[in-house]
Amino acid sequence: MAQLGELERTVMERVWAWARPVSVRDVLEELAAERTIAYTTVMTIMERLARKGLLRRQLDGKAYIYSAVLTREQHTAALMVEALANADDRSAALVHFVNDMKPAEADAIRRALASAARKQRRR
Amino acid sequence: MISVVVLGAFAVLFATAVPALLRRLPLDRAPRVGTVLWQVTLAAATASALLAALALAVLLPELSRDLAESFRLCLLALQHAYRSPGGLAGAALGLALFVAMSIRLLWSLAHSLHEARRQRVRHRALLALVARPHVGATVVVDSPVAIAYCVPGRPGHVVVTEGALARLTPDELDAVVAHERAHLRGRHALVLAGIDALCAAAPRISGFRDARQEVGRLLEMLADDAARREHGGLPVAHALLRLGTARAPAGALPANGGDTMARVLRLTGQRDAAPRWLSAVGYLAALSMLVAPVLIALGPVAAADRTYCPVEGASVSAESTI
Repeated sequence: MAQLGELERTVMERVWAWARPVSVRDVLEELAAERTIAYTTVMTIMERLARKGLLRRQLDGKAYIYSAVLTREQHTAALMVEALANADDRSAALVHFVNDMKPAEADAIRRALASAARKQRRR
Repeated sequence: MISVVVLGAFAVLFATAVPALLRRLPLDRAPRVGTVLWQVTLAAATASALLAALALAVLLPELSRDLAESFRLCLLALQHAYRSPGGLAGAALGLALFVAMSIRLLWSLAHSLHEARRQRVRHRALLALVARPHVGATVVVDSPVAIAYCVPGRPGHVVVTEGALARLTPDELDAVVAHERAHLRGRHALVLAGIDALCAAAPRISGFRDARQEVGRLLEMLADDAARREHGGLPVAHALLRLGTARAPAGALPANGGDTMARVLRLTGQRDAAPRWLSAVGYLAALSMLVAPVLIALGPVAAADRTYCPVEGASVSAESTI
């Protein structure tokens, strides 16, 4: 999956928000309210998103309508699965802040923090 | 011959005994020196193995001729200095070993870096889709799973989830972001990918796996130190506790026994840093580990220099010291 530009991202947000298949004109009308943008631009973007597998394109009468292949939540869930899968030492693609700790270690850390706080107060 | 044996012994030492020693040292007290020592050990092990093979291979006519010309030495004296029982057959074996090891190493490195890059690119594509910008180069993902991590790249990103934002105070969040940015600045993921490559090239050497684990630990401490300098140790320590317990009891991220405790002790000032002179000793030891194999490999060159160079066709009369 290649990188997304800002406009592509905006179009995806609109498609998700509609929650039903939309035409290029539907999306254009919404975007045009906020910025100057041409029909052909929106059309190109949506075609590109369909080629990237993010949008599904169907023929509705004479025009194309587009729907999202996966919901926003499904993409987010996939992202989280990848983030967690990368935490094992086999791959250094991501670096996490902290791994999970066992309850015993958590308790020991709470005690260490409390003891440090007490020393701080005594000064 | 002796240089081959010594280099082979070095390779074994750097792959087994030195890692075992390093694991026992309190490198937590000087994490930067610690990571250097570990990486140098790996480099020295690899270099020793390669140089041992080369020291055998050098008897091959083309190689010894090139070496003699580079150092302006008598060819026969040089070959005499590097002589070994195996002769030309041994030299051919040495060359084969050198080429095989080099190819395996280079392939492993390319594969490891490529794999890490592939995963990062895929992850960044998903981030571009669902993450929204936060302050600085931080992005937020709308998920209740409370995690924070960084994704290297151009530019690198620090990722926090809504779940993490909900659990951290503003100070703690700043500290976490500072920690992750230290990882990005220091290119820590690249270092780890390099060690992964070595582990893949030589999977049966447990010393390399130990290196991967220990360097991972020490790099976390380096990032902690950077965050501590900017925000103080306590916010980092509290953030560790909050995010580390967010997914209890059956966490999704594998638990490393006792690592987080060591980090908290350092952050709360309950573990002293090593004195400067001790760090200097560490760096000196690292330098020696790098230099020693090279000196041994080139030892016969020095010996050949002092040998009387025979006339063409005559045998060497003076016994070299090797």
